[in-house]
Amino acid sequence: MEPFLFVPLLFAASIAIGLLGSLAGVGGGVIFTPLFLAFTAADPDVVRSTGLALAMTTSVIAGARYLAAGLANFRIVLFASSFMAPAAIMGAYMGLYVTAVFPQGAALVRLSLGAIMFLIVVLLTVKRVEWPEVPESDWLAKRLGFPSSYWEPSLRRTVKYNVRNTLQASAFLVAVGLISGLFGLGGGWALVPVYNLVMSLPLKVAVGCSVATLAVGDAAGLWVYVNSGAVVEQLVAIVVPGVMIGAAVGSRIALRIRARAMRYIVVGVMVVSAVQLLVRGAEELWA
Amino acid sequence: MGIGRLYGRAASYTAFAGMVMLVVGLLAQIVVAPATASCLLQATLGGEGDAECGYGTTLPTIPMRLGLLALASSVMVGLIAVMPHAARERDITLLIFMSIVLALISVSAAGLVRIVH
Repeated sequence: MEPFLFVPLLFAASIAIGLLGSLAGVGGGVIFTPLFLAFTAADPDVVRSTGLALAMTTSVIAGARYLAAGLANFRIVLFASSFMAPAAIMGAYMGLYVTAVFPQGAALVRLSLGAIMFLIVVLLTVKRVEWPEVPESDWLAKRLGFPSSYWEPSLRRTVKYNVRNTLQASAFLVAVGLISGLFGLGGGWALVPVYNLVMSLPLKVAVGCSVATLAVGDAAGLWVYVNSGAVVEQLVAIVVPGVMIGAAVGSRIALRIRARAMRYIVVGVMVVSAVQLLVRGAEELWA
Repeated sequence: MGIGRLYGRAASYTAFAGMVMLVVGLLAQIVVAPATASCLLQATLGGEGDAECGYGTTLPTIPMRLGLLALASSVMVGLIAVMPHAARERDITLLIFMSIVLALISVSAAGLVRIVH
């Protein structure tokens, strides 16, 4: 393809991914990584590292807004990060090991990612609780100073919240970190349910904490890929700004269109990617 | 200003600066050696990572590498920026968690010399 055509085309595709993700309320990484692993011949390490860079950058910038608005609890974010970061590092090393050591490593990555995509689709449809009722925080949450409050404009009052299942949540955080580092997916699709349904944080706080936590966990995983030389700067320089522009435009027009319809489209894209990943992975494995 | 807000600002400004440097580097490469960036990307996405695209000139790769360095270090910058504030407020819990997270990211960033070379 002509040099002057390929770069703008890739940039336009990145904008479309950001737009779609933003309208459906999911991160760009969860669309980018499966799509590029399923439909391009790119090296899985390069795709995963770009997905991780994408998830990290968007989370750092969006996380700052949530922290400034008081919707992300910095103590919870740091607690969760101390579980997610080592798991993401481990996941990234595992991912690189699988593709480097096993001859069919790329096929294994595609197959397992295809299976995980179905889990993500299920998690995206799980009903969240806006304001979970928790009479009292558990001992660890109290000790670490997690109970807090935030201003809720729709209720025109400050909402106080308690936190429970802090220890149990740490196991989930390790799992999310591992998957995030292994596949370069980000992890908002899993972190929001963990914060909202396991730790019983109000939905807005769960989303804010999820975004801010992802930045830290993904940064740890990203370094492993950077050090292995799997990051192609040119790809990151096109995909990350493209997705961010798409997400910014998407958040502006999200109020004017039917979010549910967009969610169905994204779920459809994810299912098609998952099927393609499974088919391609199986073909490569038994070739 | 709260510690969370300060961390967010420091981290996001660093990440944004990194992104700008990456884009500047890419644009410079497109201007100086139009075929190189496109060839690299087509080879990467086409599964021909070892294709000979040439670097055109190494100059544009410098801002790109610095951009990647800033992008990947943004969280660390944010945490380092707020550590003195947490220490001043004698918030031991926060300091402990910050140190743990910072140590973890530093361990995974230990080989960052690769970017420079």
